[in-house]
Amino acid sequence: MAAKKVLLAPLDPVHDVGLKLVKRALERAGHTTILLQPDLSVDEIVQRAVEEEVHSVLVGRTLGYNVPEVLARLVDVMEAAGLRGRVQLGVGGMAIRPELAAELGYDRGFGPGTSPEEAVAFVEGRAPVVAEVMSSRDKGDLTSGYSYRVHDPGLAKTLDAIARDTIEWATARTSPAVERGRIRRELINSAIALGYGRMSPEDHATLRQELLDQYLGHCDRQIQGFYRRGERVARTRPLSGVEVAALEQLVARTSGPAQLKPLRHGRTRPLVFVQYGTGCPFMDIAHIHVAESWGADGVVHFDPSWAARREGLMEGYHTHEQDGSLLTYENLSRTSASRQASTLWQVRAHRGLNTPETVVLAAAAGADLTKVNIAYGSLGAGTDPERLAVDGVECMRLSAEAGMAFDVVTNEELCGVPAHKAFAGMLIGAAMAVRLGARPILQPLFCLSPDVMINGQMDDNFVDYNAAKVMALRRIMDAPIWPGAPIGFLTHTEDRVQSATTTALHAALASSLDVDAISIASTDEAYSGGAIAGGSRVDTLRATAEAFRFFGRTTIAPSPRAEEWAAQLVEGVANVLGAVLSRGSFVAALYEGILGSPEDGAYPGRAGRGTVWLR
Amino acid sequence: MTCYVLGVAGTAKNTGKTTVLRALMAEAATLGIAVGLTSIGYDGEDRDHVTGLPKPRVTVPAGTWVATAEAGVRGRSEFSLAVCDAHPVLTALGRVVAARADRPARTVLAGPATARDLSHVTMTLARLGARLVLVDGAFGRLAPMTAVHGLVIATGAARHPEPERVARETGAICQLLALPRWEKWALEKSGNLQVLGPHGAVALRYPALLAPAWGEELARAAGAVAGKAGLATAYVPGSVNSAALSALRRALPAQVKLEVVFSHPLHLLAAGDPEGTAQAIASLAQAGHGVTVRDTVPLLAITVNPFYPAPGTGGEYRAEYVDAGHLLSAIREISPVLVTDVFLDGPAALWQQVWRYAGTAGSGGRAM
Repeated sequence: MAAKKVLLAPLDPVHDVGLKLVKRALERAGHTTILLQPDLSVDEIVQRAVEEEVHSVLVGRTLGYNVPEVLARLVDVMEAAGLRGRVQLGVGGMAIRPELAAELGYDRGFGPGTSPEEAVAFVEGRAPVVAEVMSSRDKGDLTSGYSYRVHDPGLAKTLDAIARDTIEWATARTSPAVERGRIRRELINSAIALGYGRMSPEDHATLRQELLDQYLGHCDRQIQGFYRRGERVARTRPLSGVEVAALEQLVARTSGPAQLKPLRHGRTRPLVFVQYGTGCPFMDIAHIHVAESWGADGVVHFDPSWAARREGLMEGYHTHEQDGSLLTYENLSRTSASRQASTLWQVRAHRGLNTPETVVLAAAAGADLTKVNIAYGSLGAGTDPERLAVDGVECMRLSAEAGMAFDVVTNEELCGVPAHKAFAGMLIGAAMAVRLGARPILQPLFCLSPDVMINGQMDDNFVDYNAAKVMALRRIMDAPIWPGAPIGFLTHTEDRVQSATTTALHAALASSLDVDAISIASTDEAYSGGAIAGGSRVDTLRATAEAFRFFGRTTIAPSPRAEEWAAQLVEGVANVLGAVLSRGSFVAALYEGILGSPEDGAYPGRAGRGTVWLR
Repeated sequence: MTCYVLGVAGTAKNTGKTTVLRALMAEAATLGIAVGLTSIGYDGEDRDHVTGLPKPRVTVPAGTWVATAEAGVRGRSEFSLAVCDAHPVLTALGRVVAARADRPARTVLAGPATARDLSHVTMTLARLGARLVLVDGAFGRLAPMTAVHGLVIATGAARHPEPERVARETGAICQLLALPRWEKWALEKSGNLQVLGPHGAVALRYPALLAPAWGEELARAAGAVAGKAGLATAYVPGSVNSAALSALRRALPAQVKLEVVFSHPLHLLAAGDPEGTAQAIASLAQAGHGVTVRDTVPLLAITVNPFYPAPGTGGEYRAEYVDAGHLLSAIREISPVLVTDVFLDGPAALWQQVWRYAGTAGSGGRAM
């Protein structure tokens, strides 16, 4: 690249800071610059461009009354002077947009957020390597580098014993969901065999019918009606042929390289997740695309809450009239195909009656992560503990087979369960996962939970107790930590500015604690009463980016209270785990309130009760 | 097949260029004339980028060829994309492509910013079958319009809310566009200033006359080559301002009579001071010097618009209007060509004037 000579012309009495930054970047890249004094006339600038025989002229100016006319006249005089064929002309300023630059006749416009690198690239006639926008990013691995070692030998022994016993107990049992998960896997495998020509259509049809008959034997009447009689499940609608074709087109349009704004500044973590689940496959793709573009590293699929109480899942392309997107292979596969290759994708299987099948579908559709937690799903999400223990162990097995990591969430805190009890349930889940060869991620709540509200740990600040939770978990186990879900939950209000700010501050604290990932809410998530607006997603992603930029690699120092609370949490966890071990059954401990009692606000779920049988 | 390229240039933003374009497109559509449309800037947005005030939309009839940035038409079912020109034309919004509207379609126009690129684009539109190409101006930019066959100038209160001042300026524009053509020998379109006389030829280091010092240098060069006869010819390919012209006049030796050839009247107008430039040229002529232009463009009509965006105290703009009749009559008094307010008068007179030039009688259109 031959060195270029660039004239930098601030058409403004004071605002030439941008041009000075560009000057520095150009000179660093080996080019010669001439920075004119501010407030020269158009003719004087062109005169210097002629005299200096420059290759490029970059003009900086804030817009004001009549300023666009002056900028346009510069273009005209440059053209009339015969310079436009050989001199590039760029304009920058806070009010400059590409459309305005085009209207004014400039070759390029540099608006707010433009980096000096973009101006250098323009001068050099190449595409910019833009720091603010990436066309791709590496897909993160939340679990790499962790040993899952439990630091305290006594606690390690306790956890291992509970995990071993629970796995042994669950392995001897099965449930409709475990059976459906197995059958769904065979259905998918047979479809793949048909697709690759390894099975004839006739054989496939016969096998599919056999499998479907078995499958429906484990479903409730509504799902049976869907498959056998084509009955619609309430609030759902199959996509028409035209809609499916349009969905394919949308996938094709959105799956290519996109401009992705990085969120972090100076750190490689935490990765940032947002949830989606509009009910509509089209809108899901749009929301994911928005989130990706504004820097989200990962997205979390939310399914309808009612589906957790149904035995069985539907097939095909379906839309849902309310929040939550239906879990079908077809829906999931389109979502998967439309996302950026670097976007981590989580499909949750942490509660309800379809968890093993969900993991099967997630793995088949290419998900990176799932979510499994027996304790929360049983105590806070309405699924029978025995049933979810059997299903959950199967989920962990399937996740390990598929190489899908999963988080173990402690949302029972939202019911009022104290953190040390929720952590005990989470750690049991994590220990079981490790024994089964899976890769769990600890997901402590990073929020103003009811227990905290009652006991006042956050009366003064939100820093100390959230920090204490992370510190406690690190003292117990060497495992990845992904606070959520979402961070700052119950600190949000209808006020978008407030919501974005509290999310950003929690994100900054999480970053300071060097956790692996966080989940953030949109600014309208807690109060939307319906669909989430795309703009409110951008609110929190932008606010989080600003918080990361503000704090960089500095850390937030918690007060000594954090240390005290961390010690109390570790002790509390050990006590609960001891009680579970003494009880001799993790499932019984769930029923009996050892991991969260009705007094705390946790009630053993009833969905799926009595549906477990010995193999 | 001939194709006529008509430029609709403004003296400022918001002088009514889009309204004129829409009127001409509608007239052409009723006559079944294939129209091509492009812009030397950007047009068709809902609201003005600068003032935020609503703007007339650009909706093209079926069959119209549009040359605009690719992103504006690619993937839209109303448009069929044509093969792009062999000379890629780039704008701040990306590559320019040609697209045919298969049904009436709203569009934004983001086209070539320079005369050279405009020539490529209009040739492409002509090859695709357009008989009339309409070129939308941008702000008060005129220099790229050297590539058109005929010009309509839109002016009005947005240029200045005082009608008499707009009229004076319009008179100066008309004067400059009426400068006689240089007919003696061929001159290069571009390059630096040249001075020829009995004692030889001098090439200066500049393409334009933008500084008094450059005017003085040209005067000295003219004196050096003029010889005893005191005659010299100077060719100024680039833009000019009144200060440089005045300096030239003052510095010319008394015995020298200089024939100054400017490349194009639109290059004289690029300085943005038509009155000052016209006055400086008149002073040259009064001093016995000759003034001609290498090339020119016929001015077909002037359109006027009483609207102007008035700035408020908080950075916002509001729509204001001067007296339309007053503005119209003030400009009609000084103009040798048709002056019309398309909104008040309707488009018929303007269309007749345009189509007369455009070659129904074989007079104006050029084979492309």
